[in-house]
Formats: sequence, structure tokens, C-alpha cells
Amino acid sequence: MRQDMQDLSHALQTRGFGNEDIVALRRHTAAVRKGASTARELRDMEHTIIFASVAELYKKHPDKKGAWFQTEVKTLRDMKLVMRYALYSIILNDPEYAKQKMYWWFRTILNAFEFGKEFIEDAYRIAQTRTIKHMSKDEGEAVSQMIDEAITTFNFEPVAK
Amino acid sequence: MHESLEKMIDRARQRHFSDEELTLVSRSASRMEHGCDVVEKIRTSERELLTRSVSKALQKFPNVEAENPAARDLITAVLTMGLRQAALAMALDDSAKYSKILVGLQRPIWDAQFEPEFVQNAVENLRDESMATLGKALGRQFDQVLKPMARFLTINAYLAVTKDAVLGEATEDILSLNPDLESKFADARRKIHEDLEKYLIYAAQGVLPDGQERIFRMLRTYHEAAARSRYGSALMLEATEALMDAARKYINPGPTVEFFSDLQRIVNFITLSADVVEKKDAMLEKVTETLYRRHPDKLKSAENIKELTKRDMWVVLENCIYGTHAGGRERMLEVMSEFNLTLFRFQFGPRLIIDAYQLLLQTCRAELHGGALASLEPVLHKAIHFVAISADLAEKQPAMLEGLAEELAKKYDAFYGRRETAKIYVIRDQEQVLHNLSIGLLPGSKHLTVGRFSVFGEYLAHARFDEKMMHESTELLEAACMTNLSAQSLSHLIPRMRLTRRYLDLCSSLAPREEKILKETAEAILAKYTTFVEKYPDGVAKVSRDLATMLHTAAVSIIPDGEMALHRGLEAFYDNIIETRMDKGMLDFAYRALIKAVTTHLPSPHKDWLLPILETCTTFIHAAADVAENRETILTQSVDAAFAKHPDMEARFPGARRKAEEDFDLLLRRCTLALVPNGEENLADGMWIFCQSLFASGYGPKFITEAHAELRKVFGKYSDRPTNTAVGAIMDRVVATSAAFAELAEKEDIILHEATNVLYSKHPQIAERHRNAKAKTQRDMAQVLRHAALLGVPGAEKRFITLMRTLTEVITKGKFGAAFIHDAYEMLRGAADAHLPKHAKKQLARPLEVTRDYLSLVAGLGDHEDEILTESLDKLFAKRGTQMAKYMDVKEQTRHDERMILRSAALSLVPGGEREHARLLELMGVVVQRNQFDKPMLVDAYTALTDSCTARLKHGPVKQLVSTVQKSVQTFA
Repeated sequence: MRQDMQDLSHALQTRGFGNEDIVALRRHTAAVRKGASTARELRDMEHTIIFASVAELYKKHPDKKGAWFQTEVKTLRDMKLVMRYALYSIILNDPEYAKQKMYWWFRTILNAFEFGKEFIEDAYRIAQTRTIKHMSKDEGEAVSQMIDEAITTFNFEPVAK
Repeated sequence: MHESLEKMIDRARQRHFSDEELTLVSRSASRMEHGCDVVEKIRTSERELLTRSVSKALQKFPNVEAENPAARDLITAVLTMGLRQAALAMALDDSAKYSKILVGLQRPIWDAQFEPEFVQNAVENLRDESMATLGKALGRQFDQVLKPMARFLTINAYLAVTKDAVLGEATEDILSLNPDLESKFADARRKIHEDLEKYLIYAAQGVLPDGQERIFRMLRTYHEAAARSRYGSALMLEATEALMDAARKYINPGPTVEFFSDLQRIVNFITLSADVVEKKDAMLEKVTETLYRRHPDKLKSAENIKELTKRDMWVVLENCIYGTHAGGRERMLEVMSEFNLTLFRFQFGPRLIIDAYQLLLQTCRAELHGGALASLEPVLHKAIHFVAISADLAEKQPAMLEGLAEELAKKYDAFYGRRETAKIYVIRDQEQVLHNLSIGLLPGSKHLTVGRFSVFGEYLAHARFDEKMMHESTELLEAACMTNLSAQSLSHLIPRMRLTRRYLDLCSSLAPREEKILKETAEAILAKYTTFVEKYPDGVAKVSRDLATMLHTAAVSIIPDGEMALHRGLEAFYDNIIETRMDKGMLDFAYRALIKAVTTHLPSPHKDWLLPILETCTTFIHAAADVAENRETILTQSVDAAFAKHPDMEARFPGARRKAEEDFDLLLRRCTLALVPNGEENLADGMWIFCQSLFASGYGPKFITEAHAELRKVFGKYSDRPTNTAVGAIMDRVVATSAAFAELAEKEDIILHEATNVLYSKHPQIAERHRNAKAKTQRDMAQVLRHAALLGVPGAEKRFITLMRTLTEVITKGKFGAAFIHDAYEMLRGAADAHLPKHAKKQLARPLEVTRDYLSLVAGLGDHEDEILTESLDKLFAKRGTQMAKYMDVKEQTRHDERMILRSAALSLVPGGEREHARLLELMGVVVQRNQFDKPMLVDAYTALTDSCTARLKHGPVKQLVSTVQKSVQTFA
């Protein structure tokens, strides 16, 4: 549950509902309703977005292709997961969900494989561009914002160099 | 209560959602919008609403405030907290926080020691006042969220004033049965008291939205500590029995029905856990000893192999214990999925694994007590099938799929449109299909597997793969399985795989035609219903999307357990139709047009699979729209008529009118949904809960019978002919069943008393041999009476069969003997016949006869099963030993199969048992096909078996059993 809604639940132990609570709840509801159409569109376009993104990524960085066993297949898998958690966050209207459930620990995995900050950012910027290109304006915008969250989370200084 | 979106997402485990699941997101958003409306209204009327509710209660119970001057403030504070959190929970469509805060109210209610009727009255007033403030439509929805709070507070108020007496008596009872306990442990009294109190606390939380998960967390902690427990399983059995007895004695069961169900589930789990934990070491030692005596070559396969085997078996056994509780199934699924990886990694080989777990099952059967076994065996059975299939796949799958992928990749080099990675994806998809099929055998797995298969099918349809190629890929998979896997694995895998293949074929066939089907249908609708175009500027797209969802959801109902998705989808559709009062004519036209387009464009056999489902959906949608047209009138008129005849009811029972309206509304919904698959079971489950509360409600048979008859009459008046025929027929059965239940509620005690008095005067030795024999017999007989009455509604057979299976275990373990059991259930039938009025007698007569026959037959089987099986196998091997020697472990396997057939044939004599038996015959058919058994040999085997049965069994319909077994052999041979 979103932190602000948890806070509201606590606050209600000492006070009643206020106008601003209703505005926040209605805004949250509208966002959840929109999530269904984003989910449908992303499900239908995911294949196109991800495959095109990964092809572009390794065309740009051919040296990385052989870095690990089946790097390309694994990138496809990982990028799909990042997109799916982005979608879950959109449905719940809670950006923290994706971060808590996947992005933070995935950051550690990426760190361990030493792909480098630039390569990772590039990968998800490409995915972001493709998302905007292949999805309708509103839906693409919502996914793109979550990809931004992912990029910010992954954008780290490795602990050990 | 429905699942929250967060829970749905957690369960999806990194996959997309199917079309049907996405409709749940929209439904959730609708509920949230209504929740926001509730918050808005509550905000302005909270103070008056609460003041009125509390004042009314204090007026009715004036002594409360006299005894406790802070009563008004305290109850107002509790209700304020509950009301606000309920409104927030509805606006967020998430009850996680709501439950947590309600749990915090448990202690203040206990400490306040209010008269429980006062608390009950106050919360019922709050529900009435909320309904009045919010209006009927919104009020009913909010009441669904308020209800758990009302139930929770009421249960705790009753518990507050009785728990000391319950705990005191139960503790005394245990200590008197175990006089040396306190000398062994100085704190025994306190510890027992604390433990029992914990069970009461959690049983009272079961009614909360996340109540089952809460209970399971406590049970798991109990189970994990059980190995260090100072008490043996016998003492735990006594303790839990004493707790149940004392609770029944002191707590009013009427307002606390759910509490008793949850306490019973807690008791079942604890006695099972204590029994297994106590015998675990001996059982696992016995299993591993026998296992490695049979497989000495495997002893050196790993260091400490015996210990490793024991550890693995304990993982399975422990998770099966968890799986017996609804809250523990998810945990069981998770662990078993991981265990599957262990089997793949370590490659023990299927022969060893199958033997190990068959031995484990046999050992559990021999060592555990009847009640424990009755809970464990159904879950353990399923887990063993899963483990055996996984071990088989672990050995054969890699080579099998590699070959298959090579063949497909070569033939269709553009497979999945990605040449370089084609093989990897073929293998991944087929692995997923096999894994889903096998994990689908576990209890509670259907949400997981149906969701996965739905998305896979919809993905295939979207990706537009070649139909022929897709058909061939699953055909090759089935053929590869048939060649490589063992008969046991195939018997469970193949029937499920064939249904799944059918679904995937249907998806591939729909893919190139779907657009045309949807476009044609949408255009026809929009041409006739032009206002739709005005309402929705993107009319064709919206209608097409809704119809596509219906097509996909109808298609997914073909796969094993897929009917769950169709039922859930139509449930959401029902709510939508009711809420928006969708036009009946338009819906009829739309779904007829869809059926026409499918008939025109989809080839056979695909359309032959889909059309009957669409026809059913169309009948349902018509009925739902018809109900929506007059729902308010039906509810108001029938409730008014019922209360006009019984004007004292409202004064005697708080909230009676609102509850009647709520019950009738639920009944309309369930009877309409009973038209679609899974709906009948749902109706029976709902009726079971309703009837349980009826038993303790004190409403009396006259009111119940007349009120339901009114509902039926008014429903007939306001529904059109097709709806009155389809839904009315179901409602007729519901009305008759509730009337029988209401009679039973009045007469049950005297029936049980009379039956057991006569029984134990004839068989006094049984009462001497078993502790509390008479009380336990009465408990079992009450279950039989209630389940027999429930058989009046469609879909109740499943519950009846579960009860029969449980009683089979209890009777077999208790060695009561066929003569005693026959007498017991004949006396029960006689007493019911003597005391019930004609209509109830008619409803119960046949089920009670069947129960008597079945139970005396299985009691006889329990007495002689070993002799029957040994004798028949000896005969068979004397005649065909050489021929049979070519099959591995044939004697043991034949013994296992014959036992299964015998029990299943006996069960086929009870309602619903034929379907279960037919399913077993289908499995046996696959075994026979795989092993290529010849018919004369099978006929010889089962002739020897039936001869032994005829010679040894003296009670029950032995001839019928023999004839069923003989016919069964003809079917699978």
C-alpha cells in the first residue's frame, strides 16, 4: 500500500476524513482505472519493444554481447521483468512497489555483472524511446516515467571498483 | 471477500495479466470510486451516524451504562475507528491495514466485558444506519466491507464474557485426564491455559479479510515448535477436544458461527501436526530402511543419502500439513515449486522417488490416527503425484524436449519468428507447459496455473503463429510424453494435457479469425443500437474489446480448472450488469451475434468446443440482465411480505430486515451464477454457510420457509419465462433445502439423542472402547444429517463426498465394524423419519439410505481389505504369475490399483461419486494403454477381487459394488 495511504490510515485514528483526503483518494482511483488499459497495451507491445530495444543495444555495443553466457537472451529476460514491475507499479499507482520488489535487488545483480553504468543507462533509455514510439501517448508516458525510476535506481556508483 | 490488486500482482509472479484478470482491475477501480463516494458521505454524517447507533443500543441495554459510565465513549471510539477504516479500505479496495487496526480492537473489547448482545446490537445499528445514510445501492456495497468488522466485534464480545469459563473448564479437564502433568511441569496449568487462549484469539480473527493467513501464521509457529513440545499428540488431542467441548458449552453459537468453523480448523491442524511430529522420526526411519533395502544400489549415490532422503520427505510431509489449511496452500505451492528444482538438480530417478513416497503414504496410513489421516491424505496424495511426475520429468525431460525442439526448429525455421533463439524458446515453453500441468495437481494451484495458461494462450493468439505448427508442437509433446514417461505420471498428466492442447489449438485457430468475428459482431450491435455509438465515441473498439475478453475467457474454461476463470469473469460481469442496469435486449442481441459470427468463421472442431460455452454464457447474461431490471422490486416486495407475516421478527432480532435483504440478494446472485460452470459448487458453499447460521439463529422453520417461498413467488412474478425456467428451477431447490434445514435446526438434537441412545444400548462395548464415543457419534451424525439436507441444492455433492471420505478414515481406523455402522446409520435414518415433517423427510430419505449403505460397505472393507486383496492377488499370480513378472513391482502396484478401484467403486454409490470414479477410470485407461496390459489378464485380476469381496463382505450393497468393479474393468480394459 502507498505510504501516503498508510499515513492516512494512521491519521484516521485521531481525526476524521478531510477534503484533501477525498481529493487524494479520487486521484488515486483514477490512476488505478487507467492502469488496466496501460497493462493491455504493454502486454501487446512488450515483445516488439523489448526485441527491438535489445537488438539496437547490441548493435551499438557489440563488445558486450559475448561478456557472459547468453547475454542477449538474459537481457531480454531482465528487460521484460523491469517493464513488468513498472506495469505493476502503474496498476497500483505506487512507484515504490517496483523499487521495493525488484529494482533495488536487481541493482545489486547488475553491479555484480559489471556491465558499467553507461551501458545500463543506455539499455533502458533505448527501451524508453521504443516504449514512447510503440505505445499510445498517455500509456507510453506512464511506462516511460517508471523506466525513469528504474534508471535512477540503477544509476549507482559500484561499491567496489 | 475479493482479492486486492496487490495480492493479485504478488500472485502473478512476474507475468502479464489475462484479459479476464484485467477486467478485475477495472472492477477494483469501480469499487474504489464507490468507496470514495462512501468516504464523502461518511465525512459529513459520521457523528450523527455513530451517535444514533450507540444511543439506540444503550436505550435497549440501559444497564450497560449504569454498570460502566465510560461505556458510551468506549463503544463510540471502537465503532468510529472501525467505520473510518472500513470506508478507507473500500476507497483503496484493500483491507490489509483495515484488518491490522481491527485486531487492535480485540483487547479493548475483551477488557470492557460488555454484555455481548449490547455490542452486537450497536454494530448492527451501525450497519442499519450506514445503509440508511448511503442509500441501498452504495449501502449494500459498503455493508460488505463493514460486515467483517461487525462479525469480528460481535464474536469478541461473546468471547470476552465466556473465555475464562471455557479456558478454566478445558484446562481442568486436561489436568484431570493427566493427573501427573502438574507434578512433572510446575507451570503446566498456566502454559495450557495460554496455549488454549491463543487458539481462541486466532479463531476469533478468522472472520477478518486476511483472517486465514493470520491463523496460518500462528499455526506455522505452533508447528515449528511442536518438535520441542513437552506434550505428546495424545494430550494435544485431549486438549483440543476439551477446548471444543467447553467452547460449545459456554459460547452462543448463533452469532459466532464463523468462530466455531475456524476453531475447528485450528484444532484439526494442531492434532494433525502433533501426531505427525511425534511419529515423524520413526515413520521416516521405517520408510528409508525399507526403501534402501529395495534399492541398495542407490545407497552410495550420495553421502548421507538416508538422511538426505529423510530431510526431503519431511519437506514434503510438512508442507502437506500446511496445505491442509486454506491459509497454508500458497506456502505449500512455493515450497513444492522449489522442491521440483531439487528433484531436477539431484536426479534421484523416478523409480526411487515413486517408491519412497508410496512408502511414506502407506506408513502415514498405518501410523496416524483417523482424524489426522482424514485431513492429510487428500493433500499428501496430490503432493505425491506431483513429486513422482517431477522426478520422472527430471530424468527424461531434457532429452525429450531437446529432440522435440530440434525437430520443430528444423521443420519451422521461423519458429516464433526468431531463428537464433528458436530452440531455447521451444524448450522453455514446453517446460512451462509440463511444469504447469504437474503443479496444477496441487491443492490451491488453480489461480497460478489458469492465469499462466490464459496469458500463454492469449500471447499465442496475439503472436499469430502458424496453426498447424502450434498443433504439431503440442502433438509432439504429448507423443514424447507417452513414449518416455511412466504410466503413473501419464495417468495424471495426459488427461490434463489433452484439455490444455485443446485450448492452445483453439487460441491458434481464433487468432487469424478473431478480428473478423469481433468486427462483424460489433458492427451488427452498433447498427441496431445506435445510442451506443453516441455513448462511446470509440464504440467498435470498446465493444470489440469486451467481446474479445468474453471469447478468451470462454476459451480458457476448457483447460483444467479453467472454469474458475470463467466463473470469476462472469461474477464481475454480473456486478457490472446489476450496477449499470445494462439493456437486456442489447445483451441478448450482442451475444447471439457473437455466436453467429463464431459459427460462421471458426472451423470445426474448434467451434464445437467454444459454442456450448458461449451458449451457457448467453443464457446467464440474459438472466443477469433480467434480474437487474427488477432486483430492487423483488427484494423489497419479498422482504416486506415476509415481515408482514411475522411482525415481531424485527424487534426480536437486530438487523433482521437488512439481513434478509442481504441474504435474498446473495441468493439471487448465486442462483443466477449457478447457471455457469463452478457456480453450482459456489451456491452449495453459500448455502452451507447460510444453513449453519440458520441452526443457531433461532428464526424458526416457519419464518424461514415462508420468507424463501415469498422470494420465489415474487421472483416468478417479475422475471421473464427463460429466466424463471432456468434460475427459478435452481431457486425451487434452494427454497426446499432451506425449509428442510430450518426443520432440522429444530429437531436435530432429538433425532441425534434418540438414534445414539438406541445405538449404544445395543452396542455398549463400543462406548467402553472409545472415549466420548456417544458425543463423537452425535457429532458425525449431525454432519451427515446436514450434508444430506444440503444435497437438495445442485453442487453439494463435492462436500458430501469429502464428508464420506473423512468418515471412511475415521470408521476404518476406529475399527467399529460393519454391523455397528450399519445399525448406527439405520437408527439415524429411523429417528429422522420419525421426527421430521413430510417435506424434510422426503428430502433426506434417499441421502440417508445411501449413507447407511456406503458407510457399512466401507466399514466392511476396512475390516477385511487386507484379506480381500491378499487372497485375490494370490489367485491371480497363481494363474498368471509368469505373464505378470515382466512388469516391475507388479504385485505391489496391482494391490495399490485394486485398493483404489475398490474404494472408488464404493464411493461411486453416493451422489457425485460416479463422476470421481469416472475420472479414476480415465486415469486407469492411460495406465493400461501405456503398459499395454491385455484384457483377459485384467478381467482375471478383477474377477479374483470381486470373488473375494462377495465371500467376505456381509453388509451394504455388495452386489452393486461387485457389478461396478466389473463394469469399470470393461471400461478401462
